[in-house]
Amino acid sequence: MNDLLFDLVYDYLDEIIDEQTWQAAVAEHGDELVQLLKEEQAVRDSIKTMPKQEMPAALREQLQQIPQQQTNTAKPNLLFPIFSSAAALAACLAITFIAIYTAGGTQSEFAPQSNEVSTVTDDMQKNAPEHEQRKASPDAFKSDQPLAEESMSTLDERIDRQKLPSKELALKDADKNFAPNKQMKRTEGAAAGADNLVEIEPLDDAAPAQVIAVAPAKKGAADESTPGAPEHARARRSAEAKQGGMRAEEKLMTGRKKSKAQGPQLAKSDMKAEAAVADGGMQGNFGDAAMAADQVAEAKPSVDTVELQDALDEARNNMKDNAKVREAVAKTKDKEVKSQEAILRGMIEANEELLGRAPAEEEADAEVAELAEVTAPQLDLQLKATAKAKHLDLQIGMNDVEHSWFRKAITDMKLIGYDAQKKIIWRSPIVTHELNEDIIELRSKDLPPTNVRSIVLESLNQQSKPISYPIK
Amino acid sequence: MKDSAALEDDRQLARRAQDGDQTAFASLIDRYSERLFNMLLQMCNGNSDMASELTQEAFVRAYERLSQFDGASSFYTWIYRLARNRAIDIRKRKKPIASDPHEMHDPGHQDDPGSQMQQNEMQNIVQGALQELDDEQREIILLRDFDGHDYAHIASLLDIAEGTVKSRLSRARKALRTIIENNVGADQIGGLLS
Repeated sequence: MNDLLFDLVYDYLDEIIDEQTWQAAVAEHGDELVQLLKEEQAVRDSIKTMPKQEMPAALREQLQQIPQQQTNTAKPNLLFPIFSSAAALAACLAITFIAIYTAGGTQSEFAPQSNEVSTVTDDMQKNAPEHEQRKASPDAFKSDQPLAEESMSTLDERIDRQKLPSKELALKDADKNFAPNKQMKRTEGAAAGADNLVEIEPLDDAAPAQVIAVAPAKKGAADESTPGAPEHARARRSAEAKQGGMRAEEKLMTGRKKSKAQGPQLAKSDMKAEAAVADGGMQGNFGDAAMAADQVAEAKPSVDTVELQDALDEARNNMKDNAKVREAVAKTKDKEVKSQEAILRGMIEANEELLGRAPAEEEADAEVAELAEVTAPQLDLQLKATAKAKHLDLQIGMNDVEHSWFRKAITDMKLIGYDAQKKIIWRSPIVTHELNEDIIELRSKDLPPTNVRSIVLESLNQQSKPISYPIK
Repeated sequence: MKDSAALEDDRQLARRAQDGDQTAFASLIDRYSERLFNMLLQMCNGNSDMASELTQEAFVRAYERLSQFDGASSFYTWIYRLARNRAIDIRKRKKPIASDPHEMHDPGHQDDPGSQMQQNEMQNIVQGALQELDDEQREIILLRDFDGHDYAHIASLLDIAEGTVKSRLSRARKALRTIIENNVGADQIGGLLS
């Protein structure tokens, strides 16, 4: 079926489009549109006339008693301070439960077991404020614990997932990401015929491959598990790793001084490489570091960059093999996760407060764990818009978060043009389920609303700036 | 004007209830409990026990938190949020909510449900299809078509943008239509209407 026709019908019934527009649409699309209107109208009428069930009398009576009970105990009772207003409300609930059960009502999850409905006092205790119940009978809350434990277990598993990826995966990912961006495929020295040669193979098959001479970029870069790696190279790397990073750092400094002396271009490459090495190390992505080192070598292959290259390789190997670095990275990740959890908890509490609801502690824990689990993949994906993230936003209901995502989405969109109805069409490379809602909203207008237009303009102005993570 | 008057009235009643006026809160209960119950009944797939308890709990919670009601929204909006929040909690803890669409046609609860079923086969089909929607989609259709809220009010209730309400509603309706077509066949929908 044609979605456009459905949209027209929905818009017409929702009075988004006027009668004149509708008639024009009918003239264009004919009886099919009229039939759809008839069907949709019938569906809506069916919903409107769905049977409404009168509120059960017992519930009505009970609800009517709430203010009366409350008033009767409104003043402080010095003799029985325990019977607070909350206890009076609990008594109300107890009466309701009894009424429901004596009336033969169906047992539900809120209701106590039949053998527990022995006295009103029991029910009063059962319905007392949660912190009082916890004091009186901690075991009574054991039924809540599996959920919290399960969530925390999931959280632990998620934290485990934050550990660094394997070396193989990191290198593989780096190469995978590198090739499309640079429009070339790099062949290792062995395949090119020499250790200091790199074959540049354009993605366009018609273009000839080039082999250029560079510094031995892969010196020391190959993982020990790489098939074909020379035995002596593995032994050397192993020995260097044991010696620690001091020597590598010294060489790195020496190389940096030399490169800076050789000109701004190389110095810039040096700094870029250094940043990439550090970044690669922190991310566990040593493939990037290797690529950066290659770039340094390619930037000015005629000068003596071997020493610098060695230094970079050694620094990289040192970082790769240094357990302390790994530990630091893991701690950073862990800290980041905890920070996210704290933020989430704060947002949830704020949200609950807005809704006039204070969640029980274990509820909050479970919710934090659940939401944090949703957030976790983003720590890896880094700012990529995902439907899950939007889902998180919906759960929390924070408008500012929504706007952040919307800005991010708008930034990635391109204005394609106007369709036949002069409605604006947006397309996004990161269109997600939820994002589509905003697109539909835009399409439903002849012109973008003022606020949307301002967001677009602001986003365009900020395109060169990084978009911050939506959860601040 | 009517809405603002009702809003002011809600605020006054809530203030009086805070001051211990038992009739004020009873008035709020009279005004909104049945509506809330019926809405929750639909949201709970016709589980009247669940709807009863959610309604009761919502009013108890509302009474405990009357001081937090600032009158910015209607009392119904506020208490609906309380009930909805609790329903979400329950869904998280216990899935799925016991579902029995036929319970809404329980003869014990309706004047003449049998004849109503016969009179409107389409209604039954739609109702069954509604139960197959996910919670989010069912909720927004109920808020709009069953409870009759306007877009702005739904946006306020769900804390989402008004445009999102429209688009989500549109998507929910398409989903509902797809379910209906799958259940009865697209070519039979027209026949049901004739």
